[in-house]
Amino acid sequence: MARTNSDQLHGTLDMLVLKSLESGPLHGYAIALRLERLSKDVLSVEEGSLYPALYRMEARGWLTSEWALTDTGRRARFYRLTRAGRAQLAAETRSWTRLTAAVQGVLNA
Amino acid sequence: MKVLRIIAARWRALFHRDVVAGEINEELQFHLKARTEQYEHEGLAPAEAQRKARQRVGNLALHQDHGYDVRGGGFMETVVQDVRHSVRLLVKQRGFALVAILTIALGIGASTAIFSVIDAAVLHPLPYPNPEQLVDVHVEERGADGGSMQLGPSIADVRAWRAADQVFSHRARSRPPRGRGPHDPQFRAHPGGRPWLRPRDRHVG
Repeated sequence: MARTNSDQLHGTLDMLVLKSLESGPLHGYAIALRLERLSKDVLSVEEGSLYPALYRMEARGWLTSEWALTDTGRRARFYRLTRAGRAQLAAETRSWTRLTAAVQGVLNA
Repeated sequence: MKVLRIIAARWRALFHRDVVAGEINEELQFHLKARTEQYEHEGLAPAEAQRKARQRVGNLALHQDHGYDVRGGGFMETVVQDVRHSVRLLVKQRGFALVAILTIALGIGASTAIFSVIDAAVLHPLPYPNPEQLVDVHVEERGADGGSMQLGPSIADVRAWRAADQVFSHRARSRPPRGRGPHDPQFRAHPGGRPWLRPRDRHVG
């Protein structure tokens, strides 16, 4: 299946990362994997975008991070959604839904 | 809160560069390993899985630099580099440095002088109790030709007012006649800088 290029994904990456953390803390690789699985491999997250996005959102206070052990006993940095992050996710989801509904409306005309 | 967090992150990135870069590196290495294992799990030979994972993840050093920039390192490093560059340039071009320093010094000096005067003369109240009630009294003398002349009151005027006046709680001459001894004692500042007033007068409005 064709993967979308990273430009198309760029504006929505923050929202998708926040969404993937909604159900609990994950490390970077698990976030990438989850986004790939949930999008049935349509979306591929570039590592070169994912980590800077995580650091940026952490700096903005949407995420916190800490080192912890994975199920397989390896050290990884886990990211957790903050209250501000949840609010941001809700806001971005709303505007995304509005935008896509509008675009859909135009395309269906 | 947010500003403090950003400052803390920048500080950490600048003075603990190795720690921050190491953290990013460890995170990316973990990502690479996990990706390799995923490919192995999907049935690739270890060497092939590793090659594919490396290809997929891309240039680690580049990701690390980019991550370091985002975590505040890039900005602070640029600032430090700029400062170093300016100092080197100033040392090299002594004449320009001297002119620049003198210009700034004069600017700061002039501004400080002007604002000191404004501060003392305008912004601060006069150093007397109830300064808003302070009044400058002049005597106007009308000449026979209809013209008038403003004069400071004489000592005799002041004494007469002291005896009879119901309007002011105190009166004093601010400019004693030349060669006529010290300032009027009621106007003299005491050693603490506040004007001298007798205790029983202090609360008179």
